[in-house]
Amino acid sequence: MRKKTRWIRLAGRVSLMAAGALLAIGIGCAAWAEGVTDLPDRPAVKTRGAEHTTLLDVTMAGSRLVAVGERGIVVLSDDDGRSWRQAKVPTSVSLTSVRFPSPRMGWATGHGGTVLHTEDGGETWTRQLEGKRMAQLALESARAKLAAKPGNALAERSVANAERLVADGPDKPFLALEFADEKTGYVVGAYNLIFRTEDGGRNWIPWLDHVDNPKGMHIYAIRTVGKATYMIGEQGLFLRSLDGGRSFQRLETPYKGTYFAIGALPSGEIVIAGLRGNAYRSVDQGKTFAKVDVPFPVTIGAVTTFSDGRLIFANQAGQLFQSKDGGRSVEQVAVPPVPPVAALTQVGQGLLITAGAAGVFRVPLEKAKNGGVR
Amino acid sequence: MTPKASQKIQPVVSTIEEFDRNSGSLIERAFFNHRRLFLAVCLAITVVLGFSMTNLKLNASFEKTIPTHHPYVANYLKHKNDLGGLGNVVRLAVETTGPSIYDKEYLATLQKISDEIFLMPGVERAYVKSLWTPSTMWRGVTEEGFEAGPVIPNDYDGSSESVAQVRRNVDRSGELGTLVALNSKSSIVYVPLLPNDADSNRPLDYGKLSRQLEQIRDKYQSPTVKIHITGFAKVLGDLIGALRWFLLFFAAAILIDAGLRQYYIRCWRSTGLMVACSLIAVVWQLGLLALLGYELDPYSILVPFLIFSIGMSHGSQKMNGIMQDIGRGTHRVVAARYTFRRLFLPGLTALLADAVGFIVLLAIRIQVIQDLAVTSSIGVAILIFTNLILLPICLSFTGVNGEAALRSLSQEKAECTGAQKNWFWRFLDLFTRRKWAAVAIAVCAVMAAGGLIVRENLKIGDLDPGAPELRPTSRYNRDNAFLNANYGASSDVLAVMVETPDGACTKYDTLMRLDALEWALRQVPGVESTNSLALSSRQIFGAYSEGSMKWYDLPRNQDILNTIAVNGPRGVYNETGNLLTLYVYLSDHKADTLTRVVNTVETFAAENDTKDAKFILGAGTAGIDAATNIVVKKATHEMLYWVYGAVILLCFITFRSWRAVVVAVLPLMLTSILCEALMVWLGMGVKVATLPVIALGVGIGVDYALYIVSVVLGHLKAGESLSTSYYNTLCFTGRVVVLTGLTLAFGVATWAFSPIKFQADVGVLLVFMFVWNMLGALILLPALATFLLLPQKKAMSLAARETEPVEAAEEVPI
Repeated sequence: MRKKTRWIRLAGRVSLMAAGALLAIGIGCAAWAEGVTDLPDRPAVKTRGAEHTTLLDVTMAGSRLVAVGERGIVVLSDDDGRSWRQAKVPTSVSLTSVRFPSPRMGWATGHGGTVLHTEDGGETWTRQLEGKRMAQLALESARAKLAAKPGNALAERSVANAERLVADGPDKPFLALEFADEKTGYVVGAYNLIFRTEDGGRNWIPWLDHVDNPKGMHIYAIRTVGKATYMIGEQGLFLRSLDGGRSFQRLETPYKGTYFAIGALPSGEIVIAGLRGNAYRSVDQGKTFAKVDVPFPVTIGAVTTFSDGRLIFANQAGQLFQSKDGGRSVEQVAVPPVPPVAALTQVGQGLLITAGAAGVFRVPLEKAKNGGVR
Repeated sequence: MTPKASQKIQPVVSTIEEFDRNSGSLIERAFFNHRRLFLAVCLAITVVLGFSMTNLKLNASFEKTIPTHHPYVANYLKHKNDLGGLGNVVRLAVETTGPSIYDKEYLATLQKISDEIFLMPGVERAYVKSLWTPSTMWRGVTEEGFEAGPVIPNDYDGSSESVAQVRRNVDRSGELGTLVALNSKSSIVYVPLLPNDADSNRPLDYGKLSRQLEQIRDKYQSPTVKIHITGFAKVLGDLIGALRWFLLFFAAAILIDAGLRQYYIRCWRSTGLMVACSLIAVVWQLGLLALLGYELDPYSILVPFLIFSIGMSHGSQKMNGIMQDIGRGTHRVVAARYTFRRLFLPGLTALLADAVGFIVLLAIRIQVIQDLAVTSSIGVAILIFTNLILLPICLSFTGVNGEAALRSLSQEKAECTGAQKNWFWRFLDLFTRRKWAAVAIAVCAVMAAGGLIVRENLKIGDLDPGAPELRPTSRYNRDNAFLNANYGASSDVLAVMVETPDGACTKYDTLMRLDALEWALRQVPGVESTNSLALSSRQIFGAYSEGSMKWYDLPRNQDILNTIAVNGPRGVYNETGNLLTLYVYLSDHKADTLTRVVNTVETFAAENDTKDAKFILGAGTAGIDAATNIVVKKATHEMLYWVYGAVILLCFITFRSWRAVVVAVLPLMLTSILCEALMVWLGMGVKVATLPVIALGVGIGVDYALYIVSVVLGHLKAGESLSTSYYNTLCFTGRVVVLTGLTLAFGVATWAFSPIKFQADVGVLLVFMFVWNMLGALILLPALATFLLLPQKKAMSLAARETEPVEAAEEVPI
């Protein structure tokens, strides 16, 4: 009996020691291997001067300015861009675009197949989609379609594409998004990535095969104007849907280089712009295009429409151009260049907010006189 | 000791014939019975070493100020050749006073400057960059790929149209903020330097380079064009230029010390001899340094001043003795021998005490400080010959001005017998009364407490922006401020290195960690910007995607990462692909900033080191600064233990009384505390240059205490009251103590005007230490003695019978 208890005690001691050792090794391994979390799952770092990091998009959420950019940075301003504060974001990938269909409900897209959502005007964000899940959704959807139509060549190719998407891992960005209301929206990106939601992002439906983009070109912008929805992108890509997004048709444009920005006038006219300062306008929903003469051959990354009807263009040299006649004539705005611009938005009466390589800048625009070279 | 007492032992001998040549110690006879031979030998040594001295080189190299044993520095030295981004670069900012640089005249001047610099020896021509060099391109993305062209078009003709074209090209070149200021009022000529002059293949002569740059500045600077020059090479050049002031400062120190001496002694003959002997010591010291292969740098150049000052103060002792002997009618040779007899051993002890202050510096493992320890110890050893032996022998030939000798004697007699009490000595004597002593101690205690509080704010390292070696108002630092303000081109760089297996430095996991560290560092106050392969990868990823900024992120695809690395900037990774470098540009090099950055990196490394990536510190000026600060901080305490340990031991051996040790050492401690408080007040940090000051101050300062306490103890043993003892001590030696303090202080005071900031700092602090130690010895010391030494009176007088006669302590030189 005594012997037995001793054995038990000993066994207990040994197992305790073993457990302790295992725990120590475990902690040691964790400390050794872990360190920082990878970018997609690392919450955005509280950043000094976050409003002057690389910011890639800026928009209005009601009267609030919201800008997004590198390393999961989202900054908010409630005083027309005078002061900014950083929002709480669960990821550190670069965020590429942001839209608010209503003052409180907003969505943002980012690298690694990221889609973020806010319900409090941008203060806090949750992740609705990320690269791995996105690829899985695409694969499930493609397989389901193939199961419905066994042997269909198109469906087989979709499955193959989706399998590659899964194999590549989360390395592809969403580049733009558009929400018509709090329910319906699209996120679009590299290699013809398109997802659509009809329930405010609870479910994301792969929309890749609703689009006539067989070469899988990058889609850089999406914009709904009236009843039409347009997408533009790589190598002259111009897609249009007139049936509420059920199908997107490819239309020809005069230029075969890449378009980065799309703007629209209240009349429904649109302007598309991209590489080397190439810009075109269309009064007939993209059936025909006319050239817009931008005075300097540098890539245009952003276009916006002012409340007074002016079109404002910004290029990567940080130069600003304006057109008061829907793009028929363009002149340089007489302000010093800002760092390279990725996005524009108007705030208040004559104030332009630019977002770009060195963050957000406030550019007061004169009531358009004659502009010209500075 | 009264004059009578000393006459008993050393009778007045008015003619040389009456003197017994074989009296005195062996050493005395060895030197004094062969005076002419000794002089001849000294002369010969002086000629040889004087000749050798002319080979002594001035050098402003900072390699010796680096603690090479520290791991950061060891890491840096290991990877030195792979750290291309730390290149030795000079930047010239050419500023226009007109509306902008887009101006025909400005561009023409810039072209001339750019061309002239291109041809300067030592310039790495392929990488010189200005608006005019073909390497300055604008770039654009086309449908097929990239397009580019020189910012200044090939058909530039100075017309307003082509100037406007230049402006547009600059806008799309990405050089705004780097090569051209954001306000368009200046542009940069970027000049990388080679380690060797390509034409002569000799190491680059920074002094010459600096002069050539100044010539360019003089040539092209005009009311409309201003030129600002920065870079490590320019700092070195300016320092070498500043060393030329050395001779002027030295001359000034000689004149002031000699003048002071002459004012007190009124005998040109002896003043001249003292200056000569002290100078000979300096010549020997410099000559020996040249022979031993040392160079004079901005630190060791301070040593001749110290040696000269110590020599002058020891000369005073000799002079005082000889003066009084001759005043009593003793023959000059006999007077010299008597003085030698009395003072050689105590003089030796005092000089050895000085040497203690120097030698403890050897404990600090920074070469320039160790050099300082060695060179100044050599200097002190030389003083034993020149000032303890050569000076009395010279005096035995020349004698002194008889009138001055009589004056010296009668003054002392008058003061001591009370016929003509010296008001200052009487004032000092007040501190032997309990009331005054209590007040003095209370005041000092308050000062010490205040000092200790202030001292809490004492910072480690350099506190001034720019080049801390030079004054904040110097031309260089103003230029540096201009470049900082307009280009954000910080001169304080810290490089973090990442060791990886060969060819594995572009691995995603490694770059992801580097990227995280980089961003974490950017959040640290004091970090202005960073650069690394991770950051370049983000930027180039966008460029590869037809220049779209939306692709600005760290690519996850390994093939893309590898391709990007090929086009990465120089210096962010090495050729074998096993080292990444993260450059961290800091707003300043204050210790707090460096500590924050270093701690961030160390913490990150502890959590993120993997078998494929090891994050290590630290190259770059700031990396070296950080390592130096760590070593200096540790050394500060070590050095204080050593120097106080040595001084306490020395005092104990001399006094054989703990109470006397406390009396002697407490005033020194007060001075040390106040000196550190002064540093806080003057905005100085503890750095390589100021670190030795306290050791020197304490080592030399203890002499006063040794001197006064010995004599006071002697009088006490003879049964006198403390007040009488102290007053008599002051009569004999007070004048010399004051004179010595002033001589030492003035000897280094000229440094306060040095264009080299740290020399000025050292000058100011040493003056403070010397003067305050003197005051401490004259005021706090008797006050402490009042409470600590009196009760010992009986025991002391008992001890007096057993121990040495008081003679030896009577005139211990300082």
